[in-house]
Amino acid sequence: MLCLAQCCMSASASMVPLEESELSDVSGSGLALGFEDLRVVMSPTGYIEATGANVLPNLPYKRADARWYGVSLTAASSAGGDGYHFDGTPCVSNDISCPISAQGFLVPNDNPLILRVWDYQGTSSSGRQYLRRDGTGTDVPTVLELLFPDWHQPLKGAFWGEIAVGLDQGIAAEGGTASGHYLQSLTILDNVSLAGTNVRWMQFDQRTNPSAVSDTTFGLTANLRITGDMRFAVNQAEGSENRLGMVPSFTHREGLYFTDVDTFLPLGSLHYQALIGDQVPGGGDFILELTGIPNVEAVWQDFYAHAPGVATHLGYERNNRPERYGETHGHWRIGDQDPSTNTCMSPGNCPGQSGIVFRSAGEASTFTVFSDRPSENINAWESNCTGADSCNPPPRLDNPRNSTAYHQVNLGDVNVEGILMQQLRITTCSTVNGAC
Amino acid sequence: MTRRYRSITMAAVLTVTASISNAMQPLDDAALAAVSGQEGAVLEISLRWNTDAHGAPRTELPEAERRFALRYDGRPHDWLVATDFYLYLDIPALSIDSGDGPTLAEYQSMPAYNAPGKSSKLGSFDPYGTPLVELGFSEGLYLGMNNGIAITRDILSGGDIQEYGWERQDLTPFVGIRIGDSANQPGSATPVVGTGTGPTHLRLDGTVHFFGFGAEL
Repeated sequence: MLCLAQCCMSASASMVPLEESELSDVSGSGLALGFEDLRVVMSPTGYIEATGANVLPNLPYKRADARWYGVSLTAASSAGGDGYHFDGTPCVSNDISCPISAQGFLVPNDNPLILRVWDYQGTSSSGRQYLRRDGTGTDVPTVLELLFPDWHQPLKGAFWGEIAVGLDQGIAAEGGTASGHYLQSLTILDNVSLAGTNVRWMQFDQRTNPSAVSDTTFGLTANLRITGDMRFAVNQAEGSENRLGMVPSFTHREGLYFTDVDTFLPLGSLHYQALIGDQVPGGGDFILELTGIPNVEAVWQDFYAHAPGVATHLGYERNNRPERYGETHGHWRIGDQDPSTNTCMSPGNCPGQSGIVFRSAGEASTFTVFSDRPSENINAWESNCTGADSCNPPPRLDNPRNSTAYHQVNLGDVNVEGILMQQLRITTCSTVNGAC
Repeated sequence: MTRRYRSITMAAVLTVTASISNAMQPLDDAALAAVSGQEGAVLEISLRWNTDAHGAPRTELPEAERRFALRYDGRPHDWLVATDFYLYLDIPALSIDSGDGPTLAEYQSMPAYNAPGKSSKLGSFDPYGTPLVELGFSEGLYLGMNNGIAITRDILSGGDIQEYGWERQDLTPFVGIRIGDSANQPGSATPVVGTGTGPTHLRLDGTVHFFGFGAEL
C-alpha cells in the first residue's frame, strides 16, 4: 500500500516510473482513510440480529432474540439540514428526536482513520516504558493498530430495536404479528465523537517469568473514548404498526436522555494486560478475559500510576496525578457537573438540558415526576484538603427542584472517576448444553 | 472542494504490479495509453459464500461444510468457529478514481471543518493536496450474513488429533449473529411483511479517500 501512495505521486509527474533504488527508499507509516460527506444508512427493515436458541424445558429460561434495525451513521444535528424518521417521514426539526440526518459527515485527511503496524519499543515521549508481563521493556511485540482521528465532525448514530422473549421459532417466523412478548425501542446518539479511540492487536505472552515456556496467544487492547448525547425511547405514536419486523413510529419527545456524556474506558495496556479468548471444554461456550495484572512491581507502578514520591498513597491521589494516571484509569461522566443550572422548571426549558433527563410523551401525560438533588461542589474537595491524606467533604448544596407541574425531570449528573480494571473474566453459559 | 483529477493513477498501480513481477520493467507511455482503466474504474463485486444468487443459505450442504474457522496463534488446538456460516455481499458499483485531496485552504472553506490542526500521527507527512485514491459506492451494497460463534478445541488422544475442533459435532454456539431484512425474502418478488431473512440494502453516500503515507515522526 505504501507502493500505492508512491504510485499516485508518480502519476502526477506524467507517469515517470520509479527506479528500483527509489522504490527501495520507500518507507511508510500506514494506511489512512478520510471521509467526505459520508452517510451510511441501512434499510429501515434491515437488521443485525443476536439469534436466540430454544432451551431445554426443565430450565428456568426462555429463548430471547434481539434485533437492531436501520443502523445509520450521519452528521450530527449541529450540521443542520433536514432529518428523517425510519418510516421516511421528515422530522419536525433535526435534533436528538430525529434519527437520520440528510447530511454526511467529514473526516478530513489531516485527521484520518489510520491502520498501521507499529513498534512501541523502549520509552514513550513522556518517558513511559512499554512493559511485558515480566516487567521488562525489551522485545515487546509489534502491534497492528487502528487509530481513530484526533478530530472529526460530530456524528449522529441511530437504530430502532426489538427484543422478543419466548418465541420458539425466533422473530422471523413470527414477523408481522402483534402478539407475543416483545419491546420495540428507539436509540439515537447525537453529537458523537470517537476522537482518541484506538484498538490494538498483538501477540500476547501470558507468562510472567522469562525463563518459563512461552505462552502466547492473540491479544487485543482498546482505549475507547466517546462523547455525545443519547436518547432512548419506547413510546410509539398513534397509528404506529407495533408489529414484529415492521417499522414503528415513535413520538417526538418521550424518552430517557443522557446529555454531555464523556466516557473513557481503557481495556488492556501495552504489553502486560490484554483481552484474550479461550475455550470452555465441550460445547461451544467461550471465555473472554481481560488478563489480570501480574504481580510485578514495575507493572504495578505503571498501572496504578503513583504520583512521584508518594508511594504510601497506593495510587489514589486527587492532586498531582501523573499524566499516566489518565491513561490507565477510565472515567464516565454524564452532564456538565453543574446541576444548579439544569432543572426542568417549565416545558420549554427541559429539552437539551445537561445531565439525565426523563421526558413524558406530552404534557397531558399521567407521568408525574419529582427529584430533589443536593450536590457537592467537586472543586471544593481540592480546597478542603489540609494534607495529602486529609480531605474534608465540602458542604452540600441545595439545587433548584424540578417542578412537579410538568412531566419531565432532570435527575442530575454522573461522575465516575478512576475506573481501573485489574482483571475481568466472562464465561458464556449456553442454556442448551453449555458450561452451566 | 475543487477536484483536480488526473486520469492515470489506476494505470500506475497496474504498472507497478506488473513491474514487480517482471524485474521492474516499466510500461512505456504508448502501452499506458492503451490501459482502459485510466479514466477511473467501476467494479461490480459479488460474493456468495454458502448462498444462492438471491442470498438464501444453501442448506443442502452439510452443516459441517458450512463452517468457517480460525486457529489461534500459539494455540495449535484451539479454534474460533463460525457455524452455519453464510455471507452474501453485492456491490453493484464501486467506483475507483484518483486525484489530489483537498488543500488546507479548501478544508478551511468547508463549514464542517474545525480540526485544531494536523494529527501528530502523520508526522512530517503533508496530507493537503496530495494524491489519493477515491472510492464511491453510488448504489450502496447488499449484505446478508448468518453464523454462530464458538471457541473449541481439537479432541486429542495420546497427542494425536482424533477430531479437529472445527468439525466437532457437539458444538453448540453460545450466540448467533444474523444480518438480514425483514421485508426481503430470497425468491420472493415482492416485499414480505416482517418475515424476511434475505440480504438488506446499505446506502453509502459520499466519498472515501484512501492513501498511504510515509513520514518521519
